[in-house]
Amino acid sequence: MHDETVLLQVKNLSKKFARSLKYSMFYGILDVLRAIFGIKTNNEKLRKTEFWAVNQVSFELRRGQILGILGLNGSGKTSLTRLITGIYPQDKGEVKKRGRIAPLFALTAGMNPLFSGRENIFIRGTMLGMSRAELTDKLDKIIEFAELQEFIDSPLGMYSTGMRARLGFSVIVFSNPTVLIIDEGLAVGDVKFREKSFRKLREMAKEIGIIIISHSISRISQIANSIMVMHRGKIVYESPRLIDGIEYYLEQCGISQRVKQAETAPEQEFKTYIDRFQAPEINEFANRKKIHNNLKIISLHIPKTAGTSFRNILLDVYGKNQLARFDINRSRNAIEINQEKLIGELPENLAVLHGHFHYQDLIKKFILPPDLKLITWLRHPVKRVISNYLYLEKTLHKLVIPERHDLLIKMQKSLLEYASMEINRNRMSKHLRTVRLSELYFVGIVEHFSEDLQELAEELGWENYTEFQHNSTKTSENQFSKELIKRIEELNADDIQLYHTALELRKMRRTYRNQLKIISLHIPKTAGTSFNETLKEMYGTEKISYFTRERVKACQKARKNIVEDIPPETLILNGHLHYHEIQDIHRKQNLPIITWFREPVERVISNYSFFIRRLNEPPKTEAHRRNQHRKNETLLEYARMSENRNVMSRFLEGIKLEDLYFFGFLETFDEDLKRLSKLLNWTREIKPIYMNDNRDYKRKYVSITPEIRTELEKLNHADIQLYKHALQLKKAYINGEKIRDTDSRIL
Amino acid sequence: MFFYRTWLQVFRNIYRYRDFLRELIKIGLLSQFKKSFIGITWLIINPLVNVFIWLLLNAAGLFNPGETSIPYPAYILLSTSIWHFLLGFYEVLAPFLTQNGRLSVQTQFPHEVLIAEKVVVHSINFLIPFVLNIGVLLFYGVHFSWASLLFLPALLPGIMFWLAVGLVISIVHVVAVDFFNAFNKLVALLIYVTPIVYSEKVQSEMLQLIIKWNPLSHLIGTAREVLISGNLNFSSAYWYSSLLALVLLLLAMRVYKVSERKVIERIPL
Repeated sequence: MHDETVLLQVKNLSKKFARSLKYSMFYGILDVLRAIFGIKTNNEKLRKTEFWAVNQVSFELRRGQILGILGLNGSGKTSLTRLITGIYPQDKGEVKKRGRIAPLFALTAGMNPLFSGRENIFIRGTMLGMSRAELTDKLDKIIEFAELQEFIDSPLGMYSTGMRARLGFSVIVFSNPTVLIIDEGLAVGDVKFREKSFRKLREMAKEIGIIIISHSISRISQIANSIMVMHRGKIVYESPRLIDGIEYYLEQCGISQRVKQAETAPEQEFKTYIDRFQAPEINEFANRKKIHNNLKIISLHIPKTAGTSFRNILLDVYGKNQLARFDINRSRNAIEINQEKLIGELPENLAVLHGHFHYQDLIKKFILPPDLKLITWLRHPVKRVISNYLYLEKTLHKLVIPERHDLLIKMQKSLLEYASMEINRNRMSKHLRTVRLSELYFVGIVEHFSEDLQELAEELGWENYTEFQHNSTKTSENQFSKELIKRIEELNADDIQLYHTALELRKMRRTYRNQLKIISLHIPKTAGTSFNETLKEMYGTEKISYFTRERVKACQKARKNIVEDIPPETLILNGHLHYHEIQDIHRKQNLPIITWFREPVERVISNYSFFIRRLNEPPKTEAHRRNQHRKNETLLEYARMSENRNVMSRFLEGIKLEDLYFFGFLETFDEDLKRLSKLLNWTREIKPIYMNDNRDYKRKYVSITPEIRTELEKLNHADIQLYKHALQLKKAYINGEKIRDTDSRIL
Repeated sequence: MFFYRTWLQVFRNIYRYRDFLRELIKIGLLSQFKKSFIGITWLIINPLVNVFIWLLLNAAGLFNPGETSIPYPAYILLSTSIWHFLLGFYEVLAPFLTQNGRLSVQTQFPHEVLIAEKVVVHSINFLIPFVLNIGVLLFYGVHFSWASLLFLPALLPGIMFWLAVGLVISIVHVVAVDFFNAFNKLVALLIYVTPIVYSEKVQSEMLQLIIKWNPLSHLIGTAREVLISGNLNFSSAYWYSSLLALVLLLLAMRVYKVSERKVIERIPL
């Protein structure tokens, strides 16, 4: 593993098990005998009653990643974690790891009930590979984190399950793992400790990698920042977007799977299936409603975050007929439209829904279409809590008859009492569980209400709206002591974090909105360098941000989006960028994409010549140095490597040619550049600039026979198809057979 | 050279987890006291009960143990303690993988530490009552010399033999329970074909023949002689048996190491 941030690399990992215990034991004897006498076993083949419990699993875990692995019981999650930790031997594949892997399968594994909590810290700690000295140093911290100061010298047998779990978790937290693997491990302990441990895990995740496996959607979504779905031993889905993974899980492994089973399996068998593979949570997703095409916006109203003001603005823009109040009542488990229970489908006339609900309830009730716009507002957590408190107090005053003052006092709670109640803590985070802020269409900040509203209005194309500021309570932090404010901050640590993320997001959004104008994907050896010179000429060097592969990799290593690495003054993003790397920016801002093509065989030859020529120069980059041994590689050797095949297709994976704003060809560079200049309304006369002078390379280094050409064509079949398609499309555009809606809003 | 590498790995693992080993030994020793009131007294009572049974059988005239160099009760006490000490290594190792099955799939640590713990705890458990036994022997008029101390190293081959058996059977215990049960019965019979409750001079031609070819009789008999008489004239049969024990242990550890993880995944929980 060259990459420092990769902590765990799993490649084609496979494991088989026998369904019947007798066969399992029999194969056990066979395998052991074979191993003893050094006879090779064919691990590839399944023997009678065997099946692949883990099948060709590959993935990487990086620093900062909290990978959730979702899967029904029996899908191979536990076996996978045991393979990773080395408890089970694999039948195929490999696992590479960096540092200490701590499995959190059973928090109290190895602890002894007859010994005190303190002694058990040493037992568990040394079992995890820590030394006595290390443990003695950390002892106080471990005890403090577990909140067991009073009981630490009582025998563990007298602890409650929760206390034991706390102790076990605490030891693991302080064992300095580089990778933490959690297998349903956090199901124990009370709510308070669970919240605390999640917070701790999130904090730890900045430095380490965490894998959490579960069949529970809510548990995974509470903490994970990327998701993998496992089904029948295979990774069937992988995504950094939680909701995609959850959708996939529900569709492929959850409901439909059970229905399929029910239809095909005899009654009895199905029952045992359900009993064995229970994931009761999936039932909550069973009757999800479709959202009709008219519905464009759902606005999630977290209490006391300017939601009422926003609602009035929505009303102003969309009118009464198209807007409805929309709540999901948790206690009654019911959807309410305009405060009446919804029976059947959503009314067709609605375009906008606005109301109180938790995101995780929304996805339980509806299948969300990808283009649905979800909007919410956030506010500084302390201000929100105070506002909520004052609001309740005011409402209470209204409800109680003024004469009965004693009753009012009885019912009243102090702000601290109110804020300390579990139900009132981290309410924004609770509303937004299962979703990451960046996945929402728009997250406004109440403190910047007018600005953000204006931005949103522009984005949605609202022509005229009246800004409406509704404020039922005058909130002022000043009337409360600093200690109290600090305490409320502590109580709402998750929300504080969420709020800061939202602010960061806002900053990023505002910096790059309306700035970036064009994205150019530079496929190597397709006149991209020449094109970049033209761009420099037309827009100025400082307006162009060019990404070499090294720069892209550095971004990935730092786990940051490419966007974050673009200087604010940039107008044009250019570079050796794969489409999927800029997909987010493209989709969000609908930016035009430009790229250049070249006859695939010529491109490969040119790329090869360039590669060899560079190797013969003094090395400049790390990659350059690493490749020194390849100086004598032949064209075919080079072209056969998978990374050098179908390069153009791979760069454009995820986007159709029709969706490109413009594509040109190296072979007709001058002519195509003129076409582009018309599209972009370049007023100045352009003189094509030729860089690298590609055409000459191949003469110097390569002579190719027809056989080699045929082989190269075979190797780059996909690119040849792409190239032909592009040529046809160009012809169609020029002849006007196909009309593209050239965007006039550019530049 | 794979034997060398296996053992290097075993000792390296134990060294790396030495603090854990220390904790395990502490648990192994102390939990005996914590659980029951009389705790360690059981360790002393057990051999005495043994002695009593054989004395009873002898007094009833059921069998003639042959001539012994020390008084018969002292002879039984000494022999049975040594026998149970050696057999004990097998008894603690044979089921240890199955017993620790749950732990083994929940956490990852080298299981050699568990083996080492079993060996150390069992040895300590032997030594405490053994000191008392020495007192009993003195009471019967047995004299010890400094050479008697060599009795402990002389026991080593016997320990190796049973460790080897224990290691292999720990693997068998998981995947072939039937075989394990049958084997256990066989082991229980061994005390009758080894001069433990009778002397080597027992008057039975068949027994004499078995004793001659039974490596255990040499391994135990020699050590016992060293203790009682300080006689250091080791027979060639003792050396051959020792060599056999050593080779068995080398093989057994190798067998254990290659099979360990293959059977852990099959432990039914």
